[in-house]
Amino acid sequence: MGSNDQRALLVAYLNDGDVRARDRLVEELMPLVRSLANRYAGRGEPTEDLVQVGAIGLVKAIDRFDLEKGVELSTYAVPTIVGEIRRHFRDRTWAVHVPRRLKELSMRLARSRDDLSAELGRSPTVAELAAAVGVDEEEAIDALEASKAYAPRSLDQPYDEDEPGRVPGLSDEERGYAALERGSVVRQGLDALDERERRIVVLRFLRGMSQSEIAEEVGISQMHVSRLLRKSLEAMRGRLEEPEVPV
Amino acid sequence: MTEVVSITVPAMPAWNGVVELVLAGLGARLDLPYDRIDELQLATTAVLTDAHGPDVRVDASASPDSVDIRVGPLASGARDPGRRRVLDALADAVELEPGDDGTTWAVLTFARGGAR
Repeated sequence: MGSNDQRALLVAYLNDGDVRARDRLVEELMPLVRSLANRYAGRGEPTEDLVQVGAIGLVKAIDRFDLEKGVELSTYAVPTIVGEIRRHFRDRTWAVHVPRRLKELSMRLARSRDDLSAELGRSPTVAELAAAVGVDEEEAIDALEASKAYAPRSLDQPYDEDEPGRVPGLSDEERGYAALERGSVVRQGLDALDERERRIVVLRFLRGMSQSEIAEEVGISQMHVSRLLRKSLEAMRGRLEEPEVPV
Repeated sequence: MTEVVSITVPAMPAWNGVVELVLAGLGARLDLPYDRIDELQLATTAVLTDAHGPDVRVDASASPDSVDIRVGPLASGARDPGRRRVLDALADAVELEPGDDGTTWAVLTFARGGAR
C-alpha cells in the first residue's frame, strides 16, 4: 500500500468516521508493530502479548493522527507503539531479576511505609521500617532499592549514551520522526508523560506537595508515587535534553 | 562531627543505582525519613546526567543540620531550566561552584528536619 492509499484511509477514518478504513490501516501496519515488539522479546514477556499492546498503541496513534502534520502514519506511530510496549513492562514486570524473598519484603515494606506514614504523620525512617517488618536496616535498604527495579530501568536504557533521544534499532526514518516530535511538536518535558504522571510531577514540583500528600491525593501508595516520579524524571530528561530542532 | 562518604563511578546511567544505594545507606544511618532519602537520590541522579568526563564523584557529608551532596565534575554551560526547577523542589539549596580545570560542581543541600 502506498502512502497515498494510507492517507486516503486516514481521511476516510478521521474525517468520515469509516471504521473499516481504520481496521485496514491496522492490518497494514501490523508488521511494524511486530518488528517493534520483537525488539523487546526475550525480556520475560510473551512476544504475542507485546504485539497485542503494541497494536493498542497503533490504534491510539491512528486515532490521534493529525492530517495536517505532513508525516507518514508509520513514522508517527512508532513512539506510541513503543510507549505502549514499555508501559506494559512497567505495569507487569520487574525489569531485573529480583529474588522472591526481596520482592515479598519490598511489598511488606511498601505497606508499612504507608501505614507508618499515616500513624506518624511523616515519612518513616529506614530504622522504623526495618523494625516494623522485623528485618535489619541493610535488608530493608536492599528491598527498598530492589523495589525500584519494578520501574523498568533496563527498558529506559536502550537510549544511546551519545544520542539520548535515540532508540537503538529504529530506522533512520523512525528516528527522524522521533526527533521531529521532540524538537518541534513537543517542546515541554511534561508532554513526555501520561496524565497521571503529569499530575504527580505538577503536584510535587510545582505545588511542592510531599510524596505522602500526593499518595493520599492520588490514591496510590507512596512507593508507587516514588516510582512514578523517577520514571517521569527519566522520561522528561529524554525530552529536555534533546537539542532544539529548528522548526 | 562531619561524616563524609565519597564514591566515584563511571559517568554512565548504569552506575546510578550504585550511587543511590550508597546514599540510601548514608540516609539510613542519619535516620532520615525514607521520603527524604528517596528525594536525595532523585536529585543526585538528576545531576549525574550532567557529568563531564569518564568518571563522576559524589561526596556526601552530613552535619547535624544538613546533608550536603557535592557532585562533579559537570559539563559547564547553560543548565537546563527544567531540571533546575526539579532540583529546587527537591533540595533546600542548589549551588554551582567552580572546580579545578574550569569544571563545575553542584552542591545540593538537604535540611535534616524531614521531608519538605
